[in-house]
Amino acid sequence: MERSEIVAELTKIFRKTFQNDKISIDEQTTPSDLKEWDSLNHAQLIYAIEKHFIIKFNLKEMVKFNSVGQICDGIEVKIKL
Amino acid sequence: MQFNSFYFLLFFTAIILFYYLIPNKNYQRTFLIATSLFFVFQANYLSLLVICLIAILNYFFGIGIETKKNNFAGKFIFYLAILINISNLFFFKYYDFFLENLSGFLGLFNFKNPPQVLKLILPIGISFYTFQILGYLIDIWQENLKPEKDILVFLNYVFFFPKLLAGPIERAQNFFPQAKESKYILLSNFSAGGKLLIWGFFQKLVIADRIAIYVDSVYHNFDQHSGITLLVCSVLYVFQVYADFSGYTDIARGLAKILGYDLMINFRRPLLAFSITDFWRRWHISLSSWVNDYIYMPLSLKFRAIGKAGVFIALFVSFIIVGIWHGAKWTFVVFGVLQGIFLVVELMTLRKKKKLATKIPAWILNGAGLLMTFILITVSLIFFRSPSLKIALSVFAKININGKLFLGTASFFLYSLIGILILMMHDICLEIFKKDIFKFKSDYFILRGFPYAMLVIIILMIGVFDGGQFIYFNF
Repeated sequence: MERSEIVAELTKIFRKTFQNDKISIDEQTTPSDLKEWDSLNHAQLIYAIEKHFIIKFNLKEMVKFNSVGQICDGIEVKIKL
Repeated sequence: MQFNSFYFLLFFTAIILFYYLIPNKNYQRTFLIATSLFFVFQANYLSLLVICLIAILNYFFGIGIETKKNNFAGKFIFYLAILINISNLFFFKYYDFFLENLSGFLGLFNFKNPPQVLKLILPIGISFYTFQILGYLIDIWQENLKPEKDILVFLNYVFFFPKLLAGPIERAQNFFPQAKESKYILLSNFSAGGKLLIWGFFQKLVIADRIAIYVDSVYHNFDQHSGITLLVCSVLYVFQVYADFSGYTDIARGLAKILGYDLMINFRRPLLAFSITDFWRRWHISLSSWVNDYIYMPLSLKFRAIGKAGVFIALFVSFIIVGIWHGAKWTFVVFGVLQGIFLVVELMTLRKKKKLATKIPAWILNGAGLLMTFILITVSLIFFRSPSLKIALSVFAKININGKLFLGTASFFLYSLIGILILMMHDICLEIFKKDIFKFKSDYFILRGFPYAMLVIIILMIGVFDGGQFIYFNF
């Protein structure tokens, strides 16, 4: 899967999880860029990503997810396995 | 040795004189470590022994976790390190509380030989440096940080006396780079540090210690006081805790700044919070962010499959830990439980609040949020202040707007209100206009220094100089 495709899929997941169709993300997007992406919603976002890509992250991987780019890195590793 | 003592003033002056005469950064660090250890030694020998043992053990634990991270030994060292640090904190802070409650429980079954409490002295700063070290070890384990191999840098991180007694709970990522630099006399550091010291002492001596006299006298025989007195006392206590702890943090940051270090900000105008969620992003930030990163986030991720229920559990557990961290009393447990309940209710009603926001003007909604948050914090802090659950519940039950208000000494209300007004004006201007009312832009030193000179005069005129120690030193 291309990186751009992952970001496109993640955009859909972000919009669905945060119930906001106007959300636009790129690899540099971090929680400080989106008011909905806070510590109360972060776990639900990760779970939605896991369900969508049919992957499972461990805790060490998840605590590193501080940007969309880092999430893409994590997804790429899991998809390649 | 308290920060607000003449002895400390002499001590710190002597430190600065020698510190900046030392040309070599290793000798500077060694001097700072020796100074910090002397500071601990002034408290008691046990505190010195415990902190030295813990620091040395954890220095080697950190390196061991990194060196052996790819095999079982690394995992073993990590979990052993966590166990030793938590056990150390549990033993000194919670063992007697645990035994007393166990005895009470066993007494229900007529158990004849209850275990004896040890009446242990609490080593100073143990709650703060334990959490600091735990964060350091977890960051190494999660590969967010490399262990510090320079023992002088690591020991400075653990012992650094401005933050030792009551935080902030510093992150290694923020402290280590600063600890590796040579420190030189910089006028900007002395100026910024001096301003923090003045503001910190104003909060402590003019506001916190003055209100403390009134609050202590009311709590001393609370059952003799009217409902209105208990209400006013509870509200004033909110300002006392805020000014006391924020004042301590500013003094700690000011001392650190003069020594060439920037410690993290611990308060960001918490009494202007619109919700309990917002409050905990502004109050004791070093603790709330620590609990968020090392307890709430892992728990919420662990329970992510059960949706919102997972978030609720994570929140609840996190804030029970926040409560217990403050002390080994049921009042602190209730304080934590209350925060958990408030946060869960806020989360559950978030959607309704968003709908209301489309119908009600923002200023009304924000005003209501501000008031509600203040009321909930006032209620929570009754449990924080009360020596027992029974007294907390009695005070809470007695609060009303009836009866005659106890005024204390003639000057009390006037001086307290002056202090609170200055504090809130400072916070409101920073919050709304992003301007610090004490910072004048001018080429003239006299004009720039004028607001701080006024603060010093107010401190000298109406400060309380025989007040008690900082509230958070007890934790």
